[in-house]
Amino acid sequence: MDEGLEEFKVYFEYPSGKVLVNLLEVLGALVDEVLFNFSEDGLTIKALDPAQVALIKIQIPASSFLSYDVKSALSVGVNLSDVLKSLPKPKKGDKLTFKADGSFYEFFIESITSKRFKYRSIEVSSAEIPEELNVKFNVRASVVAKAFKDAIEDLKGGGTLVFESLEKQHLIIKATDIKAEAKLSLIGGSLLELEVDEPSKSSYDEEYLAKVIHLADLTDTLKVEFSTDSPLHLVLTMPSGELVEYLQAPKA
Amino acid sequence: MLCLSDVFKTYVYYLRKAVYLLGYVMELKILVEAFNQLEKITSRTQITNVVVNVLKNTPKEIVDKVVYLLQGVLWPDWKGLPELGVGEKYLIKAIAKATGSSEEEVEKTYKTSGDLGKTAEMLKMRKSAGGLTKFLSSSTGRAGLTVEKVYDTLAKIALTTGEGSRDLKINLIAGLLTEATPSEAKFIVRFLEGRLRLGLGEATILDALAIVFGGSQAYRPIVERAYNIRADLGSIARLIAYEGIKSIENIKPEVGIPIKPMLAERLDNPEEILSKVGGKALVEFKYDGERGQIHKKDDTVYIFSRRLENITHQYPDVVEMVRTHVLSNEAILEGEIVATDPETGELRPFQELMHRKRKYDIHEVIKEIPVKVFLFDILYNEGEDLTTKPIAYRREVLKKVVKESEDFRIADYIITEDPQELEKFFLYCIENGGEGVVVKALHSNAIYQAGARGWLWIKYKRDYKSEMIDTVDLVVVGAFAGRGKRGGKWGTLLMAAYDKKTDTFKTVCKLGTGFTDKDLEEITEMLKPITLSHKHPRVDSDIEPDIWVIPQYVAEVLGAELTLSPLHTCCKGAVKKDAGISIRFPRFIKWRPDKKPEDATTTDELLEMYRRQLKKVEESPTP
Repeated sequence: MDEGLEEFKVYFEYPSGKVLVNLLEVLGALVDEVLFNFSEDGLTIKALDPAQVALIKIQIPASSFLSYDVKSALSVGVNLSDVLKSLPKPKKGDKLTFKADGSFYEFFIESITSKRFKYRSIEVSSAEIPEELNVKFNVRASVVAKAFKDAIEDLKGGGTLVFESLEKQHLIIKATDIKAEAKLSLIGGSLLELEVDEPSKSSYDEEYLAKVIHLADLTDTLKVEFSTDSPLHLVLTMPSGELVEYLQAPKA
Repeated sequence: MLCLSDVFKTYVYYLRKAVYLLGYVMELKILVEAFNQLEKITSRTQITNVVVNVLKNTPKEIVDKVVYLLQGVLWPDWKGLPELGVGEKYLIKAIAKATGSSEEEVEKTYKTSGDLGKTAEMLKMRKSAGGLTKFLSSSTGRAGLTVEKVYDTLAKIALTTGEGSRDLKINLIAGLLTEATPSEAKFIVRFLEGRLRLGLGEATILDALAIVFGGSQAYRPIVERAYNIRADLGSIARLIAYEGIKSIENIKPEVGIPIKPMLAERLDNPEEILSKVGGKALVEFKYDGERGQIHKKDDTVYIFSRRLENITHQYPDVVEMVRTHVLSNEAILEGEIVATDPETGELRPFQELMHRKRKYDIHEVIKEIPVKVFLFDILYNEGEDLTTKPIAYRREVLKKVVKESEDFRIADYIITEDPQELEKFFLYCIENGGEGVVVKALHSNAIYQAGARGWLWIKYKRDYKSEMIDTVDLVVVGAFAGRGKRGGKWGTLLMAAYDKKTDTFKTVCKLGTGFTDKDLEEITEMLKPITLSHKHPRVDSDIEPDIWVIPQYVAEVLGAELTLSPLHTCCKGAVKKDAGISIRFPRFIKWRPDKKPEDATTTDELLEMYRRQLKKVEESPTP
């Protein structure tokens, strides 16, 4: 059997293997391969799906890790489909350790039994993924993550989801194909804050949102932002400082 | 007042422009502008000029990719890599995704335009959706799609297989179309369909390479020879771009890259044949099998077909024979692979080998249809390029290199200058299951002319014995709607011969006899994807059929006689002013999927056949 990596350029211990694998699964729903970019500030992963409909950016600051040792900035090409096929889903409380030496990387899951998974780094195009957004969001809401997830799951199979906020009380999501809708309101408690600069309405592909909605499991609240015929912007800040941003293009 | 981010954006914009100017990347729009021009012109000179202009604007780092894209391929066929072949359904889904349209809307537009490329273009112009990049691009100074990105994405689409590949392919296509301009989208879709319709022949690209990297068309023979010796136009272009045209002057064959096969002319008169080859000749048994170009490097063996496809997987038994019987470490040999009867060992017809095309249970088929290999040439041996050596020398090397056995040996042959002896050997070959003989010049200039058809090799086949079974191979260039029982189908095809000098297809006859009902059904399906609204630029015709098609399918046609015709353009004016050569009572025999359009009977061959026929008429006793 292969020995673990003795020499490494990157080493980290993450407190929850389950959370990290959840994040990888969401990424894997959008892309096959990604670059893990390590710097002394932490780990950044950006992925634009091949159809250029959805973009996800994950930032895990060095302080979020139990241990974080990066000898120099390094990008590791990860074949997500391979990793997700072989890596078992860690249980709650399982610690995850990661090492990379430039050619190989390995995950080490510490549980009742310890498991080590070693992979070869792949070449992933480092073509620039644009991320600076020139859009003003006229609707900015803070939503209970569970309520948002339930709404999206209830509208599953709805084809196109129309996000609508015409006044400062409600955020309505309508599924055109199944003629159903979910209403998030301040009075009902599912909406924590809602700012509406201009009444707005925009449509999004339900299939994409359904793929990434598990992100909502990682936090209690999330930010939902949009404008008429503009991208949907979801922002999750996790308790230990991890930041996940998700952008999805509108449907015409 | 400029804010810091504006300054940064301006910086990024000019940095990207500088990168373009330095030649590291090439904008797709350069290629697409050329494609748009090529759609509208038919003059060979103008087409060459457009290609020259493209190549002049191509950074050397990606010249191979640009050449492949001009050829309408991602890599040479012989590499055995997957072809794009993206189906209509995938494309419709991707277009819908990229343009924010419904699939129904895409299908409706497609029905009106009849062209998915145009459909994508129209919807891109109509719809404003453009994925996320539309909202992000302005901030990063993006300057549009690059040739490299498009090529790499197309390659990824072709190579993606297995679980989830369907969705990934659709998303990758949608991603490209999202970023593309309407015009770019049109050509990306056409490329994915394998229907670029540029009317661009290899000959034009060879001319353009000679002009761009050599300075004039006079360098064409050097480029052409290099391409014939290593049939990979992209890699030849890259070699010239990096090392100059001189680097290919003495290019040698390379094991693993097929050499374009030397081809034989056709004649049916032993005296004339011997006279053409200069008297003394090597006369070889012409086996009815599959011509194989065998490459060996240590234990690695590749076999390429006459059309340069990698057919190694069909012949694991031949691979073993080569390992055992070819004594050189590095060699390229040619031979005929012939099916044999497992009971009697007698030679079987070529059609039997078709069973070898299956991809599974090949080891079972080996037992049912064993083969023998009859070698007839060696083109490269232990670092020595033998294509420039005369045949007598090549045969000596071949004899030394091959340890012959019953199943793997040098083809039967005689050396003669006597027409009667040639005729006798010819009859012997026919009697023993052969197609006839190949007569090869033995003089010191009888080198291996890769990719060329010349008089150094002449086929003498049984077909020529009688005028009634004199077949030719012609290319379908158009079709006429059927009438009566054939209503709704293409009942008659417009057939053409290949004119090598002008690289065009010249019409010979209308072909409407010999088809079964099943053939007619199949023809309708076959022509659908290659139908054009205009005449293909490489077709020369005075007749206007109901539809034009891309010259692609070759059919074997049996004719009663060759006649002069004012309607057809084949050899027009060569025999009589304003008259071309046509075939009287043409009859469809079979399709020739093993032949490319350029392998069809040439106009020169038809002229030669016509003149021979005239001779016979003149020699017949007058009543």
